[in-house]
Amino acid sequence: MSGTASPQGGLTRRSFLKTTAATAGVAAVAGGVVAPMTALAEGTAPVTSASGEEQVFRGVCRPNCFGFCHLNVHVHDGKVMKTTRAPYNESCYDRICQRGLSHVQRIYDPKRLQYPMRRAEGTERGAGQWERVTWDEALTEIAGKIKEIQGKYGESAVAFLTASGNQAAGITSAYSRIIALLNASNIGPCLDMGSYYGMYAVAGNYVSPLMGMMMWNGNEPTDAKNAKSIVVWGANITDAQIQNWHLIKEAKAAGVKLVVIDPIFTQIASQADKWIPIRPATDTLLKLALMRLVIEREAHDVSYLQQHTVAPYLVRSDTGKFLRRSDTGVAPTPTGQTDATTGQEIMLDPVMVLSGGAIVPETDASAPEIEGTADFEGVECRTAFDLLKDNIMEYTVEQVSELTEIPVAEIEELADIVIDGPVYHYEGYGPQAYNNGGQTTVAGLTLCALLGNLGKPGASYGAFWGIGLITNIAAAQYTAPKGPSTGFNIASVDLKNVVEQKKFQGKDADIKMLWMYSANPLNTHTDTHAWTDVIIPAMDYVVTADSALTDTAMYSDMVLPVAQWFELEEVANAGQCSSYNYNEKAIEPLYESKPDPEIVAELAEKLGLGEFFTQSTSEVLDSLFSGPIATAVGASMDNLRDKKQVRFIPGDAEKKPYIAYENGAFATPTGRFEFYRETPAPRTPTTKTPTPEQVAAERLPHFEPPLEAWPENPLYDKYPLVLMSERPRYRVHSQWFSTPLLREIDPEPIVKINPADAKARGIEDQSYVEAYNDRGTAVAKAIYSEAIRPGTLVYPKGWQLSQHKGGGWSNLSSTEFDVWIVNNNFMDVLCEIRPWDGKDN
Amino acid sequence: MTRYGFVIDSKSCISCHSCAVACKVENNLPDTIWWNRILTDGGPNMDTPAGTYPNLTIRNIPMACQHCDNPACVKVCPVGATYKDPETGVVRQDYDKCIGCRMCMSACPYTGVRSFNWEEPQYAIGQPMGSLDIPQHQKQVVEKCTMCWHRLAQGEKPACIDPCPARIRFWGDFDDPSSEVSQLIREREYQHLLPEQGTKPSVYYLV
Amino acid sequence: MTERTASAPKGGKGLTIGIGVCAVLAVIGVALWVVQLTGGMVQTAMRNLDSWGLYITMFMFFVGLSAGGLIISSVPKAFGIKGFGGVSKVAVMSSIAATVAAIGFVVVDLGQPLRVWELFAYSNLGSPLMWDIIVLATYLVLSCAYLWAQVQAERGKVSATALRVISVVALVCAILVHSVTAWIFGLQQSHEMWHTALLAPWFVSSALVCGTGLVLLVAIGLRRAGYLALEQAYLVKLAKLLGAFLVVDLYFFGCDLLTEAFPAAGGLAVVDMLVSGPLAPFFWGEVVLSVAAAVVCFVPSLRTSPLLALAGVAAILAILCKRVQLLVGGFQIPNIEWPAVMTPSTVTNWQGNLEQAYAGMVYWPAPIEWGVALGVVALAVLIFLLGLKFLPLKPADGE
Repeated sequence: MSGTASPQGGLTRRSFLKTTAATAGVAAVAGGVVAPMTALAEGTAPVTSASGEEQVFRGVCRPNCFGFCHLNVHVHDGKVMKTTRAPYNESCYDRICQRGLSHVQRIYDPKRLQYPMRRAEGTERGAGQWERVTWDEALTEIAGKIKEIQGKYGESAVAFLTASGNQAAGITSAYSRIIALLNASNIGPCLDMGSYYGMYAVAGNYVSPLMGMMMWNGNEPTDAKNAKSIVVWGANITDAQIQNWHLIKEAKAAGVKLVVIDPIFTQIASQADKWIPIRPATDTLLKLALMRLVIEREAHDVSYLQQHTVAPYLVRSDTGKFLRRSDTGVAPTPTGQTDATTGQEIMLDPVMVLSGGAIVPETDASAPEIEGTADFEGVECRTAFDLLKDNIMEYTVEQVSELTEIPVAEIEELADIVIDGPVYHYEGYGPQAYNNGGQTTVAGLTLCALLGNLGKPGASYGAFWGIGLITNIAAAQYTAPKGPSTGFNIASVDLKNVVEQKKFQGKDADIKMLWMYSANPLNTHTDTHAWTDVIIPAMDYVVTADSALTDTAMYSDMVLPVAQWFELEEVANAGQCSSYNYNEKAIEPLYESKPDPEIVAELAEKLGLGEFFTQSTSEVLDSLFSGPIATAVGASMDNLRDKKQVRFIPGDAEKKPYIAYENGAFATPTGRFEFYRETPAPRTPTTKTPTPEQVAAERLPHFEPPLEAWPENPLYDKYPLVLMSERPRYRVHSQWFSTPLLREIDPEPIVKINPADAKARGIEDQSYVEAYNDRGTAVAKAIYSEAIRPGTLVYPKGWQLSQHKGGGWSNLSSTEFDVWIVNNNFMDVLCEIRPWDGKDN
Repeated sequence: MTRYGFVIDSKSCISCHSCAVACKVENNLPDTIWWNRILTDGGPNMDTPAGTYPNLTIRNIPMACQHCDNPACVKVCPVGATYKDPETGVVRQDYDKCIGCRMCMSACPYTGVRSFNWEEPQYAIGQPMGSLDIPQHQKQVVEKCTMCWHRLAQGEKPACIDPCPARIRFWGDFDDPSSEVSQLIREREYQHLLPEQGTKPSVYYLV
Repeated sequence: MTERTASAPKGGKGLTIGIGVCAVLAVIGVALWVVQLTGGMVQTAMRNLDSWGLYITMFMFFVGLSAGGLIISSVPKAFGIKGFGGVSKVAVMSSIAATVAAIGFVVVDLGQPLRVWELFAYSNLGSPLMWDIIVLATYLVLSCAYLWAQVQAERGKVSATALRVISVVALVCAILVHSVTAWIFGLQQSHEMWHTALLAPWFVSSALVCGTGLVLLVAIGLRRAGYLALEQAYLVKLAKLLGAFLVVDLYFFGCDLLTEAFPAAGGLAVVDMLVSGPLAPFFWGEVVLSVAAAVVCFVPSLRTSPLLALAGVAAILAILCKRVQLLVGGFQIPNIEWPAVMTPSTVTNWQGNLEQAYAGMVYWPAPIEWGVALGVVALAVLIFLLGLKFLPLKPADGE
């Protein structure tokens, strides 16, 4: 019947729509009209009269879940009514999620901070007693404290700490500028850096011609459909990068096989053609076993290894360095090219390889041997490939099977799958959350390099997310008008050590004031007690700028209410479509809140630095996104305001997805894939120094047990459960923690436990339990779930301490860190669990 | 005629609750009220699988009013507050007429798709959200999915369709053979929920 | 009338106290109902997945009670056989009171009682609830008319034939009222437990059980109070009748259980729930009480007044147990038991998971429901007592 006119005046779809629209329009005025389609007029009065115009602004949701999703922010009478999905330039990226949809309740959350608050006089930090102050009082006090502390302890005693709570150009540059002007210290995040470390260690830091840097390089997810198989390593895509699920789903529908390797039966594991449950922290072993099978089956891509990896490079047994032409007495020759970062001329000193039994410069050998040993002036030199093989052959498949608890046949089958490329490997942040986590990426990439499974459509290892560098380049001057800060750069995971030792990198370091913004380290970093018991007590003054009373704000002396994302114009310069994302100001900042850049500017005024902050945020953005480079890559502010989304890496998501490491090019010192590294370096300097043994081991992919979560650890007898966490479905990190509607779905902290483990401990389903170890406790509701591997617990992250009936999850983790990766070991944690006795221990 | 309805490829649903949240916001649903919920066909708790580790299965089923062709609720309403719109097939609920007897809630076989405002509607954020065109929620009347009637009237899809990040929700006219939903149920196998109840739902779950 | 009141027997003082107590309880009930309406029905234990509770249980129960009296009273007249002594008018009075209670329970269950007028303005004649409302209202009017007719007949102002006609109509209506009430539940395909053709006749038999039980109890009580004189033979007759009804009701119960259980399919869950699940106390309560009452009714040596009174009480309680089983049982087994988000609106016990919400009885009344229910019952008793006090309900001479 549809589409045909009905003689009885029955309505076709089109006429129905027309009629109802008309009826609705009339009803609003006349208050009820008799019409064939009376439905909308039926007495039921709309909530608000639809008189005012609805305005729609472009917003960017930016909690750094990887997404940085574009949203429509619907505003009526100056109030946000809802957020909906906004179109991307490439429609395959159109997306929104449960959190992005609930912004209206986040913006108007009754628990949102409304005015500056000072810790009530005479109360302890963390006691939660506040007195309201004016902005003027707050900033005057803060400026006074900064001057006082810098005068007493030196400029570096004042430190700023941030994470990714509001990753955007205006905010970042405002803070960078004040930090540089104050010569303050910077406390850098150590959150999920294992994959980044592993990636740049062996494959380099890729910066695109459009000035985008891939923090976690890999082929664009739209390329997954070009693979034969997708292998997901510890990536809970269906919760953590929900926007990618439909691309995986579509690839699967097109016949691509989906394999998921995860200790937990996640939603994506449930969708997989093959789920391989694995013991936590053993992914590197599994990859070593796969490499062993590749080599045993002679499935490795010799040509790729010869041309694009350090496989043929000869390594000196005495120094561990590559044998170079200069070792033979030939001086490096000038190339006429200049290194952009150092300004020095690049000198050519090729590595020596074996060709036809002779040691020759790599430049002279078109097909150098990848296996072999040579004697150079009495020094044994072996190819890097041989050294790699030694490490690979260290574990038999049977041993790996025992340690990973994956049957040998499964490992063999997985080898069949990874050899039969192209394979799109997608690594998440699960495997890197242990002390040995950096190596999992090193091993994964090396496995792919062995197979030549990189740089081609469908062949990838990693994920896909990057940062646009335009502001870093164009704004170097803006962020440091009088030169970079002379303060310290301290890794947050090392801050406790610095505070205790009062030394950093051989210098006296006495951090006495912390200003924390876009971050909630007491909650989202490991070891809350390190903060509450060591770091915070060592501070003379603590400031937190946030829009909610987070754990970190609770322990502060002054809390400043900041404007939320849609209350200021910004450019979010990161995310998983590798674009600059333009965010319009949709509403005025609520209550007394102010945008971070304004707070910084007003503080600067009080510090006598007002002259450096005379521009509005929009003007700052205009100047940051200007100049020849910005214009050349399309990242001028005009273009951003117009297009809303501008890619900073090559390609087109739909027509020509970005391919990582295309043509075997790697941004490493040798330009090749460096599964062997001459000089491993820590990701960032810390109070620790690697030993020579650690240096030797770090040169090649290798397995080390995790610090804690390992059966040989004697602690296992006392604390037999590995405490794992998951990206919370109803928060991102700790944001949205009090959003009312999400709290209806997910009202309180839970811990998922295998029923067998629970019953053995007398724990009933849905009852309160206490997880504990020597560092601390957390009380949560136990949820029976067979998805949880026996011997492990899984908790969704991001609950504030005040939301727990006792303790908190980060109380149980430690600030121990790997000297190379300098990372929070979120899951390298053992604990035991018992029914809760009702007390807050 | 027109028979609007949904196709949900629940096979690929990941239980993210985006459709439920979109529904809640768009329709300014009071606290504790969810017209659209994601059910877990698995273990005893939401989002947990059936079976024993590692032999597990789980399926997620978004469920709201099924807008049945033969709705059990419509027959039993003593005052006609719930009725089937003859032109669109949408099962509608008139808050102003509802006497709050909850006969429809009892009669509907789809456990929990109808909800009652057991108290004066409460709003956590103290102000309306979502669409401006929705009827005011009332205390002690029965509510349910309206298929976003107010959006249909403006030629838009229901609010739960576009936000689905898994892209598994489809809406359209089953009486139009060229519609996407008609094509989908021609090409793919589907299930109805509780077909034995004879309600002829307008929600098709692809399998 | 006043004359009669003045000559009320010695029980007058007790009656007055009873009236006073009931009036107070009824007023408290109304006050609580106002509290329920203003503060919201959130104060009850009813929630989306158990959306009916004590009120609808009591509605079913009182519909049942109302029937018994009228049937007891009308059958003899309708069929022109010897009646059950002088209880006829009292029995009808009890019917009227119970009908008022039944209607009262529907009203207190409504979310929007001020919109009751819509029932007449926008009647959906297809709804079993609408049928019930019509039948109940008719029934109430008929009961009153029937009572009036009896009184008038005694005074010779209404012919026996007319009375007989009225009694036939009343009888048909009584049976209808039970059937229709049963159909409110029995026509819902969504609750396997309810969806059976047996439900209507079964409701009639249950109504006869508790109605007869009530009449028996009232008769014994009033005789003891000296309100009326009754020969023991009348009571024995009533008791035999009660015994027969109990057997029929148990027979229906057995039929239903067998039909549910035999295919060993979905219905088995219903039987399990009743026999050994959360509703077992009410199931076994009904069975034991019914059997005990039947034994008293059938064993001549046990038919003493106190035991017969107890049998009446047991029969009434047995049917109350049945009503609880039916109502809560209907919600106890959800069609879709897949877990989902639980909020305070979802189900009474919402804080665990769905399985836990259904582990015990899915519903148990909240204090306010007990209060309101007590008020409605008090109102019914009040009407009955007022009837006793002010209406000529004593047997006419010679009956």
